[in-house]
Amino acid sequence: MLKKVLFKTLPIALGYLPLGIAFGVLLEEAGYGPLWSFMIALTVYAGSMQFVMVALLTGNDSLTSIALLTFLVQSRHLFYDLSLIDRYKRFPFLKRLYLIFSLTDETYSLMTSLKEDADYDNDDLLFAISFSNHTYWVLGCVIGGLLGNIIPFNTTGIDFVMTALFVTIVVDQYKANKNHFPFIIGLIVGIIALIIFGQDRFLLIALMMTSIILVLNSMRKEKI
Amino acid sequence: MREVYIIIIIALITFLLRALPFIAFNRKNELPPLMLSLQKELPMAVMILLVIYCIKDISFTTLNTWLPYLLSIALVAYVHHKRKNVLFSILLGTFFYMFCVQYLFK
Repeated sequence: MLKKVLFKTLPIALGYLPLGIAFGVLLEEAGYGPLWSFMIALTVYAGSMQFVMVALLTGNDSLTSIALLTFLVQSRHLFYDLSLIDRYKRFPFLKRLYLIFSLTDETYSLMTSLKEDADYDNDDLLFAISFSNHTYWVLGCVIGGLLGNIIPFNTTGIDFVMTALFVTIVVDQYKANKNHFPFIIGLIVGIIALIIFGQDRFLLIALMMTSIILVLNSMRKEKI
Repeated sequence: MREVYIIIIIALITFLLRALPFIAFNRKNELPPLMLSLQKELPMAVMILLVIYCIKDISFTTLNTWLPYLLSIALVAYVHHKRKNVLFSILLGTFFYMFCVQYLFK
């Protein structure tokens, strides 16, 4: 079964390891070493949010705004397909807890892609998949933290990694969806909010305004 | 200590958001239609806002700061559109930006 797990999770490993390393390096550059990377990768286990966290750790936002920011950024988890609910119900409580905890975007995609497979009924396999993905991520982050110390070249500008990551996600999403309204709304609200409220406060306001506009727009469409 | 609080908060909220559907929604596969459209739209909007978040500190008054940044973003977007490889796009864009910032635009 080990081979099966490795085979199925290979694409995710190829993504998580380098990205984790990038995070570890970035975190190290910000002043937090491999032990921090380890703890964060272990307990948070979130890709884009972890990158945002690097900026938050070195900034001075209030804990409340950080909480709100996390809520808004991670809110997409609220809307995940509910099909896994029934499947996960069949696990004992503690394992279910871990499975839910480790439900990242990629793990979620992999799980739902298995729905038609015979493997979908294999508890051990599903758990091993979640666990493996988590391991790849932790490994990457720790390695990054260790590497960060020994990088010989000038790393000025390396924090661009975060921007690059988000840009690739935007490009993928833009191409995958015919509906570009949220993209345009986000852009407009974001820029206006940045200009009006300044760098320190715009994000929360922009996130909330955008969410409200999207909800109102959805409600408007429903009524038709 | 503040850092520890931050990590705890982010870990907890992330976990709670992942867990909420499992606790609150007991229907089988049905999301109310309002939620269905949000499911698709919210992530897109959030991500573009995060990109703007990355740009927020760039001073747009001096060419040296914003030009390499926007060029690098354009490069990442173009390369990713063509080659569709996340790592390649990120690495190329980042190295390009680092090169610009360290050697070209001083």
